[in-house]
Amino acid sequence: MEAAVVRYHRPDYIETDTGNKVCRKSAIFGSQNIVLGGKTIIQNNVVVRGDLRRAGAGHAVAIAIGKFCNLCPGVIVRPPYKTYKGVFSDHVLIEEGSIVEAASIGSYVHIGKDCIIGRFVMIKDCVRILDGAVVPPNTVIPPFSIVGGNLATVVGEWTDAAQEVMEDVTTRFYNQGFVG
Amino acid sequence: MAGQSNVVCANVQITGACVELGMGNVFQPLVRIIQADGAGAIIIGNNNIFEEQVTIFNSSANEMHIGDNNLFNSGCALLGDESQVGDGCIIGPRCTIAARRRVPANSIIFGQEHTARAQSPATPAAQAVHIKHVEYLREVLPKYHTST
Repeated sequence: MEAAVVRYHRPDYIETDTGNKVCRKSAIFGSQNIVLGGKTIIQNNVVVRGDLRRAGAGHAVAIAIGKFCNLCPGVIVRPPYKTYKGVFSDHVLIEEGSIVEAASIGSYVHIGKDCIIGRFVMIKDCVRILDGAVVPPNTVIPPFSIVGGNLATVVGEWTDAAQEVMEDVTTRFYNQGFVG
Repeated sequence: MAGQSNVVCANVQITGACVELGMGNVFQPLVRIIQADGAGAIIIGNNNIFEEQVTIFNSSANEMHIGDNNLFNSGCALLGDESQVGDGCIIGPRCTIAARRRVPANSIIFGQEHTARAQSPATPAAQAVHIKHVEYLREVLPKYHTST
């Protein structure tokens, strides 16, 4: 779980007042419909689709991301179809090349590399999704489970310390692991 | 539906001398449709949805045909040399259709092995949902992307 130190090119990143670090080389669409909770890192080549929001008047959030989240290079985040927003809670780590169309993701969730999270999936708190897992649409993943495979099933139970582990990994990565 | 224009987002790459688009297709951002030099035409039907980072690549001398009402999920790829896609297909995320593969109408491509499974032919209701989604995208995407 110990993340390596990533050195980034400072001019490539925009840092907001709330401490979000967003790469200029990421593809963020419909930014008025995206909420970042603060201290969230969006790395290069990430695609965030805020433009797929429900049609009609009024302000609607398409994607809400909590604090201390980390979207690694090549991740695609899109809301499930158009009628529902994708909500991410805090301390979520999504590794390279995953495609996420979840309806909601709880706190302290770790999604591995090249995962596909189908439409309207609900991931509860403290869940570990193994590399290459394909979670079929409309799945609900219970707390403290380890999920893996294609199609994904629950393969084990994650440690009770998951909350502390994820908190530690994400805050440490933000403070010390991601330097420019 | 006839006569509806295609929606092509700004950062979609369509290259090649002979890429024929039908009507009412939706190309979401970062789609790449590439016809290599001297390769056959890419002929795309109507009302297809291409989600982000879909790659359609034709390098062979033969034409590549894509039918109507298909849904290409994020990150999937269709690679040249006589591969074809029928009507009403759903290509799963990050799935690849290799060379010389013909995907019959109403198939779903899914999983690690890019397996094909037939779905029952689209009922009028299912077709209406797809058309409605295309219409929604056609209405919404130009608001956020400078379409061409």
